[in-house]
Amino acid sequence: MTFRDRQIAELVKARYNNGLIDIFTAISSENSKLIDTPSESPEAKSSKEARIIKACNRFHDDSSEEIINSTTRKISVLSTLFLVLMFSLGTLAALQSFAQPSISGVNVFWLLLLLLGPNLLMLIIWVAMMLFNHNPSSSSSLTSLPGYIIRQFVAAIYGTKNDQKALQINILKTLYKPLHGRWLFSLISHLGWAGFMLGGLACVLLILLARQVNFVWETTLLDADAFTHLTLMLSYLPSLTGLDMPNATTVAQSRLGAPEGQLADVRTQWATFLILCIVVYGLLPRLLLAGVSYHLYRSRREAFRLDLSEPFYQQLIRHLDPPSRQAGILDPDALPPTSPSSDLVGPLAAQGPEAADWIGFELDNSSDWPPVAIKQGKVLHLVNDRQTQQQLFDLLKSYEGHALVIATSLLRTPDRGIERFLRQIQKSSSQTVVWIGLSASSADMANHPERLDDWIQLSARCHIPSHQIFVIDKDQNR
Amino acid sequence: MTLTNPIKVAVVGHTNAGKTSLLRTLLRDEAFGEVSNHAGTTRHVEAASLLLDGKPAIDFVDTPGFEDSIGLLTTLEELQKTEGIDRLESLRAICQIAHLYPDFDQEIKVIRQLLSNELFFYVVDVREPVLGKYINELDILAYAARPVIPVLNFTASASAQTKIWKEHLAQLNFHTQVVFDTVAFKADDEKRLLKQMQTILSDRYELLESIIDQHEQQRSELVESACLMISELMVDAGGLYIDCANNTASIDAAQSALQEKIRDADTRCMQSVLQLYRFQLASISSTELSIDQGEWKLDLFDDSNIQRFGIAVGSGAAKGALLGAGFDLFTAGMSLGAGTATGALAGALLQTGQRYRHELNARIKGYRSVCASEPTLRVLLLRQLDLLNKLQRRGHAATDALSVESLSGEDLPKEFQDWIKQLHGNPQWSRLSKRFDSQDESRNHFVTEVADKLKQKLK
Repeated sequence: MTFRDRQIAELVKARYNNGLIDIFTAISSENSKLIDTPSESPEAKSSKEARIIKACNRFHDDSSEEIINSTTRKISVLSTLFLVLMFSLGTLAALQSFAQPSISGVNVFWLLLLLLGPNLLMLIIWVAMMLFNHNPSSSSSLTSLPGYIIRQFVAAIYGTKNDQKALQINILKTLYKPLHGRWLFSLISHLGWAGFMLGGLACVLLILLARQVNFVWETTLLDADAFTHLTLMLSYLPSLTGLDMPNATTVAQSRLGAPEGQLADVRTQWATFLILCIVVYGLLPRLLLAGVSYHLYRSRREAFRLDLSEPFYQQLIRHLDPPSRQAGILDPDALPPTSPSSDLVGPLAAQGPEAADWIGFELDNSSDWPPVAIKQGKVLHLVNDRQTQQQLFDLLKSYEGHALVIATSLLRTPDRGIERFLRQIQKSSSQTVVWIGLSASSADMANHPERLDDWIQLSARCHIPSHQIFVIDKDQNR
Repeated sequence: MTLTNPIKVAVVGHTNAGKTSLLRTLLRDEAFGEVSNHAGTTRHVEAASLLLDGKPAIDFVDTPGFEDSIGLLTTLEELQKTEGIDRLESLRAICQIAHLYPDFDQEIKVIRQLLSNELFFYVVDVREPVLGKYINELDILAYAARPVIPVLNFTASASAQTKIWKEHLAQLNFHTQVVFDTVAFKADDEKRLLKQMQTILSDRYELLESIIDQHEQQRSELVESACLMISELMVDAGGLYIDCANNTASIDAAQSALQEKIRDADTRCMQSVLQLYRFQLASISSTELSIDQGEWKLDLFDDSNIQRFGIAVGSGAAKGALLGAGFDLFTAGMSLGAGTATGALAGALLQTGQRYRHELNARIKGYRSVCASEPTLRVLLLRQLDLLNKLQRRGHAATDALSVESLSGEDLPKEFQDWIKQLHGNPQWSRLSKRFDSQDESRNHFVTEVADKLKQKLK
């Protein structure tokens, strides 16, 4: 997994947070289609982050690719513009020093100060920032100064008016994550200053090639020895190249207003000193630091990991790691559903028959039996299990009554067992009218509105019409 | 960890006892099977696996319900007599001659599963009286000579006869019964069920222990994520300011824009929490919380809503000013003291000055800002917390609307007032705002801190 993969994941997160894509619904519907996938898939073995990245990549399309590319392009253009600007500034600084109104020559130390001074100052600021900014989670003002500058710069150019731009900024934010972003900022800054030094150097070289310049120095407050020491100190590193550097005598001779005119050798020594000082103290350290920054940026960037504790990723992991998986139907239902004769379905009876014998069947409570609704007739039997069912069927073999009421609870689910029971009663007492009394309280009726219809359907399948079904008020028995 | 073969469990029981519901809750899958209050809803055998680290750990089989155990038991006994075979053999025999018994088509499907699984969950609807047909179902299960765990469903119902059922099951030697209401979900019940499985299937102890651990880890991760989402919502809504010119038309327009943004974020958060807990948006509805088809129906900016949630608003004047509008209006910059304003000027170039820069600008240019009022943010938070509380105890088999107890400001952490002050002072924290600053580390700290407190407040 590369930084770019993680960047894509961050982009998907940003698009989700901006309400531009609904990744979870898409994954859920994919999961539901995923029936019984092989359990040994390599995906299951890979890390959470890898699976998140893989999932996010599926939502990475041309338009989001374009967002990343255009953002990267804009960064390149901006960085190039910055380098050109710094190069020009370096050139201007050098030109400025050569344009001094000095009659006898160019003030060598002034020129060095103009070129190396700002560079040194910014280098000190950079070092201070890196030291203060050691802990990326600290929230001091200095900490996020580079980030702040970049954000302001970017916001000024992109604006934040539409979603695309908001996403571009989000991509920038992944580039400027504190751990690696500071090194990218350092890299651009060092390259910029290297450009500044290069501009200065190019300008100096050009002028020295095309013009004969006398190098002088001058002071009002300082001692002349200070310049001698400074020159010798500065020329220590450049002298390691083996080239001639100005010595104490040359320095003394070059003071503004010295009686002797400057010899060609001395001019060459000063020119070499100047050029090497710019290279050794300006250009090379910046290039070196740019190299180090680039290396650290690359390594820290590769070390960047998604923050899996963020709600978006937590949610994503939940979707990628479903707690269960459907495996489909193992033993399908082959029988078509049976539908009862519709002419048996109609309005219920308002009450039970005047004279009938009663059978209690699978009632809720013993208090429901015998029901107070019994007018004329007798209590025949109470059926609750296989044995009592059998006893009833034996009893019915010699039964000669005209009407039977099967009193049961409305709450019983009308199942095939009840259906078989009713059919058998119908069969054993073919001369008898069978009624069904459904014992229910008003709460039962309200809480189970579908149950009455189920009973009507079941009764119709047993050839018991609706007008032989009535409701027994359970509350009356209490 | 190397997984052994998954445990094979068949879920059996009388029709309409809640077998599919049990599986929906155990699998956290609302879409599994079909659930209704009619008999014979599940007419085929359907399978699903509970996953551990992405691999099947328990293979569940949902079966059609027993409907005529009395008739089936009589038939099996006849087979034993006529064929001279034992009980287990009679189960095998009836499967082989299934075509002769079309009335028992559903039951024979169950018997096939009895012969091929290592454990049965016998689901009991404890609202039902203990009838002979249920005892006969247990007799048939005993024929298969495999362990059975009776799972007592609908125990939270007012008409539950749990004690009677427990006594009867104990008389029948089923001592490993487990209470598990598939609608009013309790994590402890689920754990007890798995522990019972551990007792019965001692060679699967480690695997079941891993499942128990995974469940506990997932539960705590879920709560953490949901609290983070709600915390983020509060930060987004609380820190949102919309600027407008100092005239009625502009203020009204800004107010509408503010309300729309907060409503959207509120709905998105609710939907994310539902998805996190694997509830389908369309299936969740609530009269009190006013959710329907994954949308909040009760408006956050409605006066009665705030009263409904029992939010007390301080003074009469404040009530008038805040309730109707559901937003605060202030002249930008007026809330800043002279000291902070000076500090802001000094800090304007640095990031610390950012939070004041806008207000300074507003003061100079004379425009105003609207933001969500404290009562609105209270309702926002209470409603989300209440939903989260309910989802934690809602089984995936539940089809009823969510109900809500009376809520009060006491359900919020005591730090709430301080949070609002901090949010109103940090508009750069709101992701809904143009001023959002994702690099502001203090936002993340705040979000985490709020989420931690919310977690402690959950019931």
